Amino acid sequence: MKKLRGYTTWLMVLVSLFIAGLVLARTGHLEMVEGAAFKFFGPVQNGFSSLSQWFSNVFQTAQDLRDLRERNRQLTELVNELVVENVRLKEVEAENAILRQLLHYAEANPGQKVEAVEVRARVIGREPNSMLQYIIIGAGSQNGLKAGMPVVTERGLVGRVEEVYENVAKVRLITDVNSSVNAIVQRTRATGIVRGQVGGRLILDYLPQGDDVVSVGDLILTSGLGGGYPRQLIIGQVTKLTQKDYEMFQQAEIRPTVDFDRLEIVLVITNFIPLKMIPESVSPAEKLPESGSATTTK
Amino acid sequence: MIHDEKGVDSIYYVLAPLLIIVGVAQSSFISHIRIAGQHPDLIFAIVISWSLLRGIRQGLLVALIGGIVVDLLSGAPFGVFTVSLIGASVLSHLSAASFFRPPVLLVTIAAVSATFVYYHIGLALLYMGGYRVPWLDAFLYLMLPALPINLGMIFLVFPALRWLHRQTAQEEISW
Repeated sequence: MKKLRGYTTWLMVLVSLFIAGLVLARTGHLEMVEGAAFKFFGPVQNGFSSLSQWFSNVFQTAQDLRDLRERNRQLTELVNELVVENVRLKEVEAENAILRQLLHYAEANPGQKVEAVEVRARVIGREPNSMLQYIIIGAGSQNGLKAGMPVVTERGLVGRVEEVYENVAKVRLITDVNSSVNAIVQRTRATGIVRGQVGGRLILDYLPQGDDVVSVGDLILTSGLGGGYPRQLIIGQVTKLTQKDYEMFQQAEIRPTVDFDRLEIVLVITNFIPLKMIPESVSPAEKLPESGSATTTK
Repeated sequence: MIHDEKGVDSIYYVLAPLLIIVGVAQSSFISHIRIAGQHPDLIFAIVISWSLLRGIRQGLLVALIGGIVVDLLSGAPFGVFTVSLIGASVLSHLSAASFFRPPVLLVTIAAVSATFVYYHIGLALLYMGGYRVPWLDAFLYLMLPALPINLGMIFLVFPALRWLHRQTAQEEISW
């Protein structure tokens, strides 16, 4: 009972204060008190407001940072995907260009059945020693390759298949010391033999003496003599002549049209078997069909 | 002698895979590197360095593994480079064992003599296998350019293998 009386007293005091404040406010007598209060509380309020704003900013910044990080991660992923895609597209574009050129070669030489073999030199390989000049191509007996088949690119003669395995084959380049190709000077029809030299150079040897047999700039092609290679494959261009009066033959240095250091894709002419490699039981007609289809596979 | 014949087992776990990796690398991307028309021969450098560091027994083992790797990847008849590397390994060991004590000079002499032996054995075997070998051209355009390249490669490879040697053996050659 005593407690209830205490509450009533407080309530009456509060109501009285409220009414008094209301009357003072209406009559304009409270402004001075309010001004004094604001003078004291204003800076504190301002400080609290700034503090709360600062906290709000901190939390907002953290939120923004988290969002930015997420956005950055998404954009980085996107950039990475686009870079990979870009590289892949460029590779496809380069490969397309090479395959288009090879297709032109196949169309221009319908008598030769060719199989395009992708030689990724970085993966497949080259001769690990400087004594010999070989490449390893990523096609073998499974693709119908046999020893002796000529290997070309759209730029000219590369070499000849020497060893064939199930999925790979070793190709002796024409720049190898042991390679020799019967050749013809396109302009004069003079014949000779192109031999590889130590260090990867090419020499056209056994050319008859004479001033107008060969000149610098002449194009050298395969002659087809001896049956080792098909006719009219480009070998290279004459860059230097060596003539000595006391020798029976003259020599010409040749710059090959094929860049052997940058071989990526080569063609293997699969319907050409060198004559010396044809077994006696099989007639040349069976081995060398008149017209072969030009197929280009990767 | 300064060589050590211990730690033969470690070679199987470290050098054999290393030689296979180096052989494949030599056949692929290293083959694009040309210095004076020559490819750097890392396997040769490893074989000679290891022969100098570990002596004849392990040198021959490394030469055998490295030679088989090169022979598998090469167009030459199988065995040519195995025999050549074994010959080079033996000679480098002999030169280390017999004549020169200052290590830098020892490595230099071993590299030069091993290069000549390596090429001569290799070309002789190719010649016996029916290959055409123009000896003068081979000397001028193969062996002579190969000398500084092989020497440089051995001077690059030797410190790395010496570190490996230190991890697996107690005695070493210092230079």
